[in-house]
Amino acid sequence: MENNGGYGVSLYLAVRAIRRGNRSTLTLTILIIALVMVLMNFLGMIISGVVTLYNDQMIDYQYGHVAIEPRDKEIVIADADALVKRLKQIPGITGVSAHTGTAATITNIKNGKLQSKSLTAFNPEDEQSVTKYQMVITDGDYLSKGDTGQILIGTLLAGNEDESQDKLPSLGGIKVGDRVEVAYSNGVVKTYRVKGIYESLGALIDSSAFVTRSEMDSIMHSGDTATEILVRGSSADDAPALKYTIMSYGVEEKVKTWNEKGKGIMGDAISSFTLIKNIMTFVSLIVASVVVFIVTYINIINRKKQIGILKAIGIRKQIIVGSYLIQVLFQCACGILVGILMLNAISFVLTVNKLRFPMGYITPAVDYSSLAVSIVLLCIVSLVSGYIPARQVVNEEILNAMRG
Amino acid sequence: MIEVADLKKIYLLGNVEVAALRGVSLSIQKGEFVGIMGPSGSGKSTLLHQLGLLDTPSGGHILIDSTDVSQLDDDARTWFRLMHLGYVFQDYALVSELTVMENVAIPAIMQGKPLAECYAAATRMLEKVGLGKRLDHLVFELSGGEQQRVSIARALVNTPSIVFADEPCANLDTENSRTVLELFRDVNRELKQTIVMVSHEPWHQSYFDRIIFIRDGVMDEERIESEGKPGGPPGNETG
Repeated sequence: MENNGGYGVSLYLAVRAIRRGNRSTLTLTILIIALVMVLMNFLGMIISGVVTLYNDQMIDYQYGHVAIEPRDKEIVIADADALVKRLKQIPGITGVSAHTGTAATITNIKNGKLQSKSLTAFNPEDEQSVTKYQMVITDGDYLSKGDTGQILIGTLLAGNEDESQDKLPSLGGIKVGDRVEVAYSNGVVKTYRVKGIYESLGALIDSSAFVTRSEMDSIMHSGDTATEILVRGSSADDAPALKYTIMSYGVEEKVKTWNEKGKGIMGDAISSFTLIKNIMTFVSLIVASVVVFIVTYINIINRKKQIGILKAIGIRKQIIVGSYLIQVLFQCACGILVGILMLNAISFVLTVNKLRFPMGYITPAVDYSSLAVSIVLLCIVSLVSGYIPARQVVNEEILNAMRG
Repeated sequence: MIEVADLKKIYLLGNVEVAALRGVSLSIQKGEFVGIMGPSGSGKSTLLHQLGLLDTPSGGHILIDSTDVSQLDDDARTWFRLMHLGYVFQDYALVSELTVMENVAIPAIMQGKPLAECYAAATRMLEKVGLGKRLDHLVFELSGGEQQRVSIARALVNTPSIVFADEPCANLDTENSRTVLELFRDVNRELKQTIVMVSHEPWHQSYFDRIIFIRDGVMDEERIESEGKPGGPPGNETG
């Protein structure tokens, strides 16, 4: 009984059924599987885009690759300049910038509108090697090292004269050259000229304001201290290694990677997105399984007589079922391929016509790990959905099947 | 070659038992061309289906080449059909997605022979039935008579012990019927091929070596045809 053609016959029959079978049904099935593939991955693509954008913004504007914070029970980093110098000598570090932050109320002198914000001070030259503020100046100029009495303001904080156009509470239309009054937490109030306005497209980032460290020191007498030191390394992926390198050089302050700093609020949002994505994946899989089941079932019912003939002339049931499973796998593989092409086309369209989110423009990214998972799931679901009707019909009595 | 003892087949129609075969015993020798005849509903096709392992009898025994095939399980029956039996059906029963040659080759391919060998055997068989020039055609491109000849070629490709033919001429006109019957006769004589064929046409009788008449599920009579020339259809008696 072992001397037979085995599953090679399944392939033989399947190839001919695909080549000479109903093209419209095949095309429709492939299209449906492709759309299911798109459904399963589209939201993931958007989430990937959001996460990538959020991560880039955290690194480029908020934390660098590694952020150094004051030790436990201390509110500032002492001897900040010395620490910055030490850090600059560590291999793998490409930029270091000390930040000093304080609470401040900024008032637009022109219209009296005010906003309470955290005002941050940095050394503009050091900052250029860590963050990208100097690259997103939309009006005026970036700060220079010796600047006093000058302030850099985010576009959302600057706002518009027409309040209805503001996305966040603003100073009501600040422009370069305008004057703002800054009331520091120590009670000092000083007037500043707006030197530049930047726009990163990140909502939180663009509602901040910056002065130079020398300017802040002249008001707050912060001296050689910093509230945070940002460090940039070679790449985001190397941040954990960089963190341990910094610690190995005897830095006793708290050292955190960008990922450790930023996973709080966005982490919750991503969890919610992921839940929605999983629900969509589940529903899509059900749709796929029902479609494959129906198509295979109709296909098999239409060929019931042929199945009876094949059984009558001595083709084993397993071989016949195998031929249908190969056909289902072929449909599934084509559907997956078309689905991936569609996803890439969507990704291309959305790269050209970018989606605007609160943190900026999203560039959707195909997440190949979840793509791989959806491919495996889709194949399993298709095989099961194809197997059930095939097995059901193949188990019928030969004469019943041959009657059609 | 075929030994049948007390063969029974009972169908259930709702709660009613219908006895299609009520204890048929017969034997068929190697190389015989046997006709099974009888009125409509007599059980002749049922008998053929039991002998050809296409159906499972309700009782009795069938021995083919000394194997008690009534004791075989489903897989063993499938294998037995592939290795030892060939079939020709009333409605040709060809696979529409396969070409003429592929239809004939498929039982050989299933036996695990090399593809080239299967195609060569299929080609030889198709040439024998006069379809050597239609190898790459799809079955719907053939006439009914041609399709039935493809079906015969398929039945013969594995040189089976027995070919079962279930009213192979029922859908054919007289000319094509005669072609098919003569083909069977040639194969029977040249290759010593055992053939068991169901028919209800009286003019087919002259092609058979022996006729088993079935009536109401039992053997009615058995008649050995005299060695001689084939007859002809009604209205076409030529000799």
